[in-house]
Amino acid sequence: MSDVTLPLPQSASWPRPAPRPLALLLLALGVAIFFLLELMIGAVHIPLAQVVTILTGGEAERITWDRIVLQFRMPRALNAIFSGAAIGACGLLLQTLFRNPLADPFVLGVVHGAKFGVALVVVSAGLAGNAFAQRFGWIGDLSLAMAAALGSTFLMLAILALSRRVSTITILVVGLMLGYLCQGLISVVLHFTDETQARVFESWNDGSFAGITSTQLRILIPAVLAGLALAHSLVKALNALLLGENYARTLGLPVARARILAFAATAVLSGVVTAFCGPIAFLGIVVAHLCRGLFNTSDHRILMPAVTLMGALLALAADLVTHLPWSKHFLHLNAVNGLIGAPVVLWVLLRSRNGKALEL
Amino acid sequence: MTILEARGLSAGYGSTAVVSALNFTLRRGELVCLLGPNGAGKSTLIRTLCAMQKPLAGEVLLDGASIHHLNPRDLARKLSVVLTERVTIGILTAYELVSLGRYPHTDWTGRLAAHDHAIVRRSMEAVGADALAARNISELSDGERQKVMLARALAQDPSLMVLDEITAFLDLPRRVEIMRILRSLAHDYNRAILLSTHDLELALRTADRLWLLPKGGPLATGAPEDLVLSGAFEQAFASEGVDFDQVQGHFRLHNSFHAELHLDGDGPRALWTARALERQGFRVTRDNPSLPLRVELAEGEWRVYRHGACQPAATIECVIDCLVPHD
Repeated sequence: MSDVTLPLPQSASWPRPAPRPLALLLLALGVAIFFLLELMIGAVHIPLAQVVTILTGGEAERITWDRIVLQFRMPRALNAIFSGAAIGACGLLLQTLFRNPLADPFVLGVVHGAKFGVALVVVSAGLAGNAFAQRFGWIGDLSLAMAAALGSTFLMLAILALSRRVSTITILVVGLMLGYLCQGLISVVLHFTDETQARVFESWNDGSFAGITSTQLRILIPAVLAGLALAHSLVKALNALLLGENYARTLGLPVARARILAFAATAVLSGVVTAFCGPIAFLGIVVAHLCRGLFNTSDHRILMPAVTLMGALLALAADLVTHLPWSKHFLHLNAVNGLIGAPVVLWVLLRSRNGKALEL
Repeated sequence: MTILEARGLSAGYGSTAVVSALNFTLRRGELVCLLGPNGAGKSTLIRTLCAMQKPLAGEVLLDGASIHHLNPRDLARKLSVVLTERVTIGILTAYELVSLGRYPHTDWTGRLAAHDHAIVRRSMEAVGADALAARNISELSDGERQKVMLARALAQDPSLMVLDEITAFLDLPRRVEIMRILRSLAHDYNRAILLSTHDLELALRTADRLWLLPKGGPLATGAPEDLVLSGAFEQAFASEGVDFDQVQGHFRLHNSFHAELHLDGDGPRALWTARALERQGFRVTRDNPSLPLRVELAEGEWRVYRHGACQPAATIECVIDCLVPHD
């Protein structure tokens, strides 16, 4: 307003969109607590004091505890933290990109695209699972991650191409069908490998944070950090995209570039997690909606850090449930996710009055 | 001061020009309405002027620079747009939505400085949306939402605002209110505003200048009154069965009269009675009481005379029923 200067409004009633540092801090605290619980709880209970001693470089009362914490539980906990954060961010990115509150890497079938990428690599190498890892070492792991990221990218591009013609709900069916298509293709591809390797690949089908190697962690953590950094650098663009592409463009956003970057972040995050943990169901969608509900905003400047922390928190919590010492059976991670995730999806669907006006 | 200038502009899709060889200018502080029948290419022209699509020929200059070569951020600082499309975002307050208008002025985080907050508040006050600040976008009515979108466009602090049929979903009082706001934005805040609209009468009354875009014809520009008197206005909207009333300044259905009728009385009641009768195909005269059909306004009722017989009627509807018997 260079031409006319009005007196500044004096009223105190103007809302200031304040960031919520306290709530984010609480989330971070929750992650820390669950991280410690994850290290303490399992078939063998290790007291908190001992865990802290081990973490700070001291010696535990029993030498086995040292190994349990550092070699078994620690990689798993770190995997849950970084993978969970990645999936949480993916959920939010996809929901805003597709303007669809039900989008997430699992629902849209992006993880199946990643799986297909992995299947191609595994089959061309003739080995799956640990045998693959032993033979090819970190190069093998890296190629798995890259293949998965490529697979995710292709699937997202396919959905993007189709999404211009279909409604919000139909796109989920499109994602579902593309997912089935990928699964069919995976079966066909696995046909060309031997039976044992096919079975190993199938078992990887159940998402899990366990069994990650330190080599894989060395790929996962930097990749996730890079993906998250990219996602966080896009918060302003994502806010503009809330208004739709046309408005975003008139606000000065180079829409095509922002979309490519957001897709790249999603592909890296979703790809690397799927490569090392298998398909993780529902986590992205649950995390995004939980954060919107808790923080009561669609502002990505708040939501992006929130989903990152919440993703890590929920992944740790879900993983903890799968290996509670008093549970009689071994619960699959995706079973736990489904128990929480499916009701959330149903709630989002039923909440919209006409089934079309879904809101982000 | 000229803000926008088109030189030999042709716009369209592929190789088909919808509008061609247009030359026009837009000045600071004026409200211009773009009018034209459906299919004349208003939307195409608007999209081209906002750099949403490339022109087929010619160029559009914004503050002397070609808009199709400006980078998006620089363009957004000079030109803001409000479209017909509804924004269906969830959890964002009106204030946060208007804050998005500061997009081209803020850093990569989109954080608003005190100065930005001040502009957001002034923008909301200027369009009378300050009371909506804390409300969620999804709770707003169409009229309130358009006001908030206007405030957002104003918060961009542009020299030119382009508004594409933003009053389309609104009822008449809301449309009048929006037009009043637009006039004040143009005149008091010295912005140029281009509004495409189908609201002919409102545009005739509020616009400083009109751009008339007839189907296939050249763009005619000028003061609304000049365009009415020159007949350009009527020509642009020429259509079968519709007449433009130059005296009243509005379009009305073209009637083929089947009978003549004398109306006795005056005031608003007589005016509305005449309208109803004309709609029913009666040519209404005021100076021939010897006609076999007569309607007379009496205290609290109407009297209908048909060939000497008199019938009282309590409402205009009853008058019509007397004259046009329904089987």
